Amino acid sequence: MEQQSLFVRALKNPDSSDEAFASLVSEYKERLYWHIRKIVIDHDDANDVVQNTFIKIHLNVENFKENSSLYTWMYRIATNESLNFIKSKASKMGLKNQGWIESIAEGLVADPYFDGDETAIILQKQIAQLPEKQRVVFNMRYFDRMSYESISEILETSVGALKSSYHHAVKKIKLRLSDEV
Amino acid sequence: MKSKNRKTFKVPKGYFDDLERSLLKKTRLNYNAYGYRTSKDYFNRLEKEILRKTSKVSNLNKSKIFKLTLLTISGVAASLIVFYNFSFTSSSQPFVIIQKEEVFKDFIETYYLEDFNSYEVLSMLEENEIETTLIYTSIP
Repeated sequence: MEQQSLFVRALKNPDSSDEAFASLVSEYKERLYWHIRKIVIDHDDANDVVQNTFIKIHLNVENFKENSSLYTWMYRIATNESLNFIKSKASKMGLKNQGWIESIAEGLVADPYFDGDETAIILQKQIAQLPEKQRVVFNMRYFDRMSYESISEILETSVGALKSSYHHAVKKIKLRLSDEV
Repeated sequence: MKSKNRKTFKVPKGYFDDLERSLLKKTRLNYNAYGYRTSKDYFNRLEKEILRKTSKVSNLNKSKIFKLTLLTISGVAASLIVFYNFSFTSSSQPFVIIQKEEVFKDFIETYYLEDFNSYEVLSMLEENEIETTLIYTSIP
């Protein structure tokens, strides 16, 4: 935590901010990209969102109060940016958020940046059918193996509610997969 | 101890290199394990792009702060000018009126003091300026 405080101080100090931010990007770009990618699915969309996320981090690091870890704070920004992105894209297309995500998941077969096998495609399509919150929780828990405590900090939701969300998501996916296979 | 399997079972050439790479890929979180992938060298390009954009934003912010400061200073200066103009105008306005009034009084005063008679006034006028038409009335 002390190390983080020093790093945050370096980020806030105009003399060292550029260097500190460059190392922050280098350290977290992949992790944030994959977190975002799993929410927005499409590579180009993820690329836009990850860039916006880092710009937001850069602009708001001055206001970071260190009530949570830097990593959690960045994850929260990335999650919100991704969900807002979906919202704005869906509303532009006259769709609901879930409708938009399902349509993107349907297109995965032809996506040049997706080379999963048939099972991976089926799984992604099933995940896309989950309600937004459950989908995010499922991705963080199942793919990223994040602890409920960390997810709770990022999504600002109680551990109990997250466990219930994840449980429901797994149950739905299992049921649908058994129907499909 | 050497495994007996070495003689009986065979593996394709380079299998263990591929296996290692494949295992590393699958155990590394988020890396292509679920079908998602990115273009080659994407993350290096992404890093450069983010740093380029954020430095642009920083410069924009700096110039915004400079413009804002300049605007504030100009605003304050303009307000001061307007304020002084108003206070000057409002304090000088009665002064001008007084001056005008004094001039007017001076003029009338001079006129009376000089004590011109009508002939003297007439002598000061040009011939064409004097009204020559007389109007007669029948009633005395």
